[in-house]
Amino acid sequence: MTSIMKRILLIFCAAWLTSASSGALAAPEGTIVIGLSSLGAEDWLVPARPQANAIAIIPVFDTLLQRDDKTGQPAPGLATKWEQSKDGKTWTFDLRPGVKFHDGSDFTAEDVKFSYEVALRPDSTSDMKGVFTNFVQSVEVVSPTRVVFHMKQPNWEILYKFLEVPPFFPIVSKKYFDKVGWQEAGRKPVGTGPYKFVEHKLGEYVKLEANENWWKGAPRAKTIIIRGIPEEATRVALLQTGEINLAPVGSDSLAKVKSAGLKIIRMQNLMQMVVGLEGQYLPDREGYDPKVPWAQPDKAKALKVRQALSLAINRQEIVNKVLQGMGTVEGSAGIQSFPGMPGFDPSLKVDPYDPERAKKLLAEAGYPDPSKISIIVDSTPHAARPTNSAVAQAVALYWRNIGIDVKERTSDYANLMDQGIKRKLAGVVWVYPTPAFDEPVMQLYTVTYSKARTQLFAEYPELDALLEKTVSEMDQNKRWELQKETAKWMNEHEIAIPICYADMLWAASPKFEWTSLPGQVTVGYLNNVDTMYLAK
Amino acid sequence: MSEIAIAAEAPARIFRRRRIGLVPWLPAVVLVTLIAVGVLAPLIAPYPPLQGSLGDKLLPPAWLAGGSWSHPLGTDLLGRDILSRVFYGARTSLGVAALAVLVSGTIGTTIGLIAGYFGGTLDAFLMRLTDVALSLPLILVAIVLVAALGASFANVVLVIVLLLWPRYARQIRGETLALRERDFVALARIANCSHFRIIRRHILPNVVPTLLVLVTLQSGYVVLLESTLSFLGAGIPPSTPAWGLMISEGRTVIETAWWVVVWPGLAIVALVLSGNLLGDWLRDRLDPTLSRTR
Amino acid sequence: MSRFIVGRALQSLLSLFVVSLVVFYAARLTGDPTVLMLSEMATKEEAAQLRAHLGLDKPITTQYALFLKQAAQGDLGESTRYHRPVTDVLTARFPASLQLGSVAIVISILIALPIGVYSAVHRGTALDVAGRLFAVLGQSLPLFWLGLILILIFAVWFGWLPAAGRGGPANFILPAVTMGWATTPAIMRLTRSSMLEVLESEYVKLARIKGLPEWKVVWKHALKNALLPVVTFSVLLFAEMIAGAIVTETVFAWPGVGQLLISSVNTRDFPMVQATVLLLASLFVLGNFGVDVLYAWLNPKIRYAR
Repeated sequence: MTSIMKRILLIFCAAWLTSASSGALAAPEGTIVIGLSSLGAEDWLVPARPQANAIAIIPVFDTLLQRDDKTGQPAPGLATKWEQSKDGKTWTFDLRPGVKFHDGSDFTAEDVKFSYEVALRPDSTSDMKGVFTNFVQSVEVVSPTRVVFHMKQPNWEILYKFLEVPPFFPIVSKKYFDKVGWQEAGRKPVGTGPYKFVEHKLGEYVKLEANENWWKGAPRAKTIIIRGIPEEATRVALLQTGEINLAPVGSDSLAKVKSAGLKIIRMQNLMQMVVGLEGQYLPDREGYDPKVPWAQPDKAKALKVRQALSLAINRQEIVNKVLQGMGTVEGSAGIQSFPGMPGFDPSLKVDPYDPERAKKLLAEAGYPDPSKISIIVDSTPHAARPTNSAVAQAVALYWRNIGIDVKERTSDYANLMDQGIKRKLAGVVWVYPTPAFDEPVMQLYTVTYSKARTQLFAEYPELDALLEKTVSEMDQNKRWELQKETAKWMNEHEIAIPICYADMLWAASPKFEWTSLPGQVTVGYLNNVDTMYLAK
Repeated sequence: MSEIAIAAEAPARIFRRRRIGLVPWLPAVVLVTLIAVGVLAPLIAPYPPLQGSLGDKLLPPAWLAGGSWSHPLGTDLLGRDILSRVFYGARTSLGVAALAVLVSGTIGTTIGLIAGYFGGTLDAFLMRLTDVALSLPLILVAIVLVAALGASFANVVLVIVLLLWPRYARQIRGETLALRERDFVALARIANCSHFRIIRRHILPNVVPTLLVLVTLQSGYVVLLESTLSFLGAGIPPSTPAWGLMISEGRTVIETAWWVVVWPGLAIVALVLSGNLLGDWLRDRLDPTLSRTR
Repeated sequence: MSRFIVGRALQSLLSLFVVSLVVFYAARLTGDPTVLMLSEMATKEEAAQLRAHLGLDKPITTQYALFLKQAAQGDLGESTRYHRPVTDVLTARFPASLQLGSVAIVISILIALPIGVYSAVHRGTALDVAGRLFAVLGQSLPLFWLGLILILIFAVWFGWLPAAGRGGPANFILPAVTMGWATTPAIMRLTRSSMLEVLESEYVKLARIKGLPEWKVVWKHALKNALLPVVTFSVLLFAEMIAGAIVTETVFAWPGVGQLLISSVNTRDFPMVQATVLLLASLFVLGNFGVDVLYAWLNPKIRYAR
């Protein structure tokens, strides 16, 4: 080989090697149109807004940490290292150097501190506001790549709050806010994420464009357009005509999706369908009604009623017929427990389907004639995970079949939540599609705790004690054991009736690919958008 | 004079000869059948309307593959028999319609009569009240009521009443205004009849035909309102057999399980059609020079 | 006449005032907006703080007085959901409704008018009944079902039109037809009955005696006079239609005012609900006012042959 040829070969190899190691296979290309059921509040002043607001602009931002797609455990994001001090009162984060915001400014620890301050604005409705107010003493910028969170007392939960949505603590640029002001920053968000914000048409769509300099590597698709399409049947039609490439669908649309030759993307076991038997309040609550069969003062009888109600439900049939197989019954006995997650106890057994025994238990509890039991089943669809509605109607059917007098109703979702907060739902039953949390206690402590603002399932002093103990336990292993114990207690006392895990379903055009599906805890939010692309 | 009269009359006579003889008998029969079905539902329906089994979910009608004669029209999303639910649905849907129309008709007629008869400030006040009522959007009214009173049969009736009464009031007022100027009313006033008596004995009977026409024409609209309210989530409680609700609940399976939507849909079409044809016929018969819908 | 106009105008303003009052109270009856604005993890203190920030902790009468004061200065408040002035949001969304509504009513009139005239002229014939049947079909089909079926047929099966969303002229067709389908029967019926009335009138009889060809009698003379009630009715229909466009906008993902109202009510965005309802009510009241004035002005002139 001549020296010239050798040199050419060398250059060739070098070029090939460098391009192969740049991470991206090629420049981003293609347009992906996503049809969500709503664009949310279309106000992008994060992090002063809750995660529900930010649905369409999640790809614009990064959080301090990410969730490892396989283990769900904290993984590096904008922070490369994190450490808790021995006394548990300090969290130190080492930040990734060389990251730039979409407007060109550098990402530093100042931005982390600034984001914290934004979340604490007086008009902030952020998920993080309460967390920061209650847990964090102050945030200190030690150096451009090191930030320290000083906690009020030892706290383990804060780390989970910095993971990818949910909740949502995106890092915003102080320089950008200073330059354009609050309003503009909320209208044209600037972050460090895989996609840049390009355009927003109120009520119609949001347009994002690839950030080729993203620290994790350029995303695959060049343009992402997110549209708000409220009607599910319309979303499916749009998929069929090719006007959109991805949309969330319910299980009843599956038949149509399949016959149209579209792709089905399953996020497995994303939520747990739990039947909430409302009325199990502390006896001194104004809304407590001792006549509610499953919340009566005679604890033994109340338990029998709850068990009976559980035995009357054919869980597998619900999964097969209502969820079209997109769910799992096995292992779903622990409320708020998900397989592979902390606190999961595989030894907890799911109640069998035994309507005869159910009737017997009801008789033992003093209801030989089930028609004397009056239950209001509320099948209001959840705002983000509406599958619960069909499950509720199925539950109503099973209870009717054993003779109970079931009345059905739907309310307005906000109203239902409001009444739950006020503890005024005694005698009502509804099915809550609870999502997975990094640790179950994070959810239970907010919705099944007597001192919490919201009340979803029940209030019991013993449960309160368990939750308080768990929350103040700094050692992870001990904490996970406590959560197993809590799941067991709830299972034995049947305070709510878990039915099954349910998948979140997306329908997509045949060429659509999403190589790294967001994990369970991400509740179906648009994470890992950078791994979406359209095959040739 | 007579030739001119004949020439002018001739076209009208030709029209009358070609009129189809089906009206009003066919629509009347259909309406009566629908009402009878609703009344007799517990006797003629093969199943109770709420009974179902997930195992029988979405069975097609008997003459298609997979169907059976135990469920001649097929089953819905919860495995309930559609034929029975259509029968019982007549009760709910017609009941809602009848009740809503009755209440709003009464309120609307009363207000319309008073406004049209007395005129002046009272009339202006009542008409502006009607304006206010008409300018409140359906959804606001529906959701406020759901939030305040919860979704129920009574609630749906209330929403429809709130929507309908202004329309009746308007129409009746127009009629009353015209009637007020007629001779027999002037004569009654000269004879010192009280206002109330005049309204009751002279005006009301003449207004009734218009009312009847409105009622029959509106019947379909009311049943469709029930459907729209269900679609918006502010309607009759789920699982209630009601035609509008059945259509709304079945809209995700329009293509794959058409029977869930088509049977109740046909029932509504039958109701609306017969109501309209009957209403038109009534209006043509009673007084073709009555002032029209406004 | 001018006294009448001024009087009516004042009445209209009063109506709007009453509407604002009713909406203000009715909206607050629906519940507490903070329930949906805050996540489930929020505390009681946060909720109280937010309520105070939104001014909801004051007595209702105080809130209303404040609202009036600001409205008089042209400030209708800030949307608690969008965090923008409500006027901004309405300016962005209203044109969409207006455009769609206009196209819908034009289509509606184009279809309803000929059928109505034809039905009247050939009254009692099979054509008449067929025409009425067609129109009645429009009144007996739920709008959302119709919309979904149209999407299915023309967008999915044939692929001739886009399925949903706002866009170019092609995007208008399906939603406009859906919306117009509901008003077509009303206009058709009105045209028919109005035409029938006119055809029996002295004016038309005179035209016939004069020996004018039938088509001229019908289309030139009768229709012109029959149109008045139809036109005035259409004006009212337009205002009502926009409010009733909710279903169409939902099915076709059309970013109009109907959808805005629904989502504002659902998220308890009081300022937005108030402003939207006031806008729609103003349209309606204005339409009404215009119709009343028109009628009063034309009254002596249209009173022919009874």
